[in-house]
Parts: sequence; structure tokens; C-alpha cells
Amino acid sequence: MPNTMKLISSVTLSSAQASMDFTSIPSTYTDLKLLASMRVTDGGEGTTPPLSRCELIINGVTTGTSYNVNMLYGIPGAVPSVLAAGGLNSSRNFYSGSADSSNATAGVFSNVSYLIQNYANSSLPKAILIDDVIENMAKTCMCDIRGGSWNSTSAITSLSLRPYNLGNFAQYTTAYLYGIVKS
Amino acid sequence: MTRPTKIEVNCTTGVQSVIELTDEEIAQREADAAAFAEQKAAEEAAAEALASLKASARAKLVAGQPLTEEEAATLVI
Repeated sequence: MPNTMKLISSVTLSSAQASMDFTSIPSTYTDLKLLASMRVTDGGEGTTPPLSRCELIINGVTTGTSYNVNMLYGIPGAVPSVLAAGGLNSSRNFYSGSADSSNATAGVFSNVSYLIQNYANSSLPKAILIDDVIENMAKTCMCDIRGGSWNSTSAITSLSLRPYNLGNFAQYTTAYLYGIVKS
Repeated sequence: MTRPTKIEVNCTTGVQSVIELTDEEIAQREADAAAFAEQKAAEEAAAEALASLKASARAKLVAGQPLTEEEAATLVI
């Protein structure tokens, strides 16, 4: 990793869990980078691709209007699509990263990168960039990029990742939280 | 019935804890799952409607028949 990225905390699941929560995040960095490799224990949303959508909850806030995201995604054999998903209504449908479901090839986990800029700022909303690959070692995989924001001026002090459909993250799912300094 | 658990990492102390979800957290998960299922159904219906319009537009083009405004919108930006 570049020397401007400092590992804050990491977690590797030794058993299935409903969520991975990073709390009391120090405010001493400029940006945050969260790298997650995820798989869930249930069948998720089907087989093409074999994924379970996840959500990133910031500061425990579950209000839909606090989040906004647009997603560009591609599946082999299909035309790339743009999806405006989530936020700006009372239902929080914030498609923030995906995990491989139990329908994916055994031992395969998703690869998701979250970049949260200016997280400790207490006067501006926070921009979020998400890169996501649902690998399956087969044609039924997916990749997407998502741009969004957390529409709150509060500094970010906690991040929580969890599957959307009542599933659990599987054993060996990991998440690494890095702080990015200017130099 | 065993309650679901989450793992919490305190980034200041480094302490990791496995914690049972509260009743409120379980209720929130269930509400979110229901909202997501509703949103997903709406997305799939919209995608199906668009695919149907495109197929209809294509067939009419080939047959030399006039397209509706909706059908034309799927082909021409």
C-alpha cells in the first residue's frame, strides 16, 4: 500500500455474522478507504450473477434521504447499464457493494473498494466512490462502479457493512479500513 | 432461537467484539429487506417493460409499421 494509506483496523470473520461494524473511527485522516472481500451464507438474489447486495450504513443512520447513489454495471453478454438507485426517499435502497452468494463458485468472494472523501469534515456532505467485482470464475460475474454521497454534514465516525436480505456474511469474509493522509 | 450476531471493531482501542443484535436492529434488518424486495421488483418490472417496448419497436421497424412515441423513444435518444 502507498505510505499515505495507514491501516486503522481490520476484521476477518471466523464465523458467520450479520454485519461488520467499524466504530470510533479517528478523525485524524483526510479520507477513508474500506476494502472488503465478501461472501454470504444464503442464496442472495439468484444466480446471474450470484450476488447479495450489501449496504454501507454510516454513523448508524438508516434514513433513505441521507444516501444517494448511481451505479454503472456490466454483466458478460449484456449491454452495460446505468441504474440510479437509492436515497432521496424514505426507503433506503443504497446499493453499496455486493457479496458473492452461496450460488457462486465455492471459495470465491467479492472484491469491493469504498473511497470516502473528507470523512471528518463537519460542514459538507461526503462523496463516496465504490468499485465492485462479483467474481464467479465463470461468465456469470459482474462488475460495477458507483458514485454517491452521504448527504450529511456530520463527521463520519462509524461504518457498518451488512447484506440487504437478512443474510449473514460467511466465514473468511474480510474488511480492512485504511486512513488516507495527504502526504 | 439463536439471535443473529455482528462483529464490532473499535478503531480507537482495537477491541473486537461479537455482539447479539438488539430487537431494534433485527426489526430494522427486516424492514430493510422488505423495502429492498419491493425496490427490486419495481426495477425488474421496469426492465421487463423496456425490453418489451424495444422488441415491439424492432418488430414494427422490420415490418415497416409506424412506432408509438414510447417505442420510438427506446431507439432514438
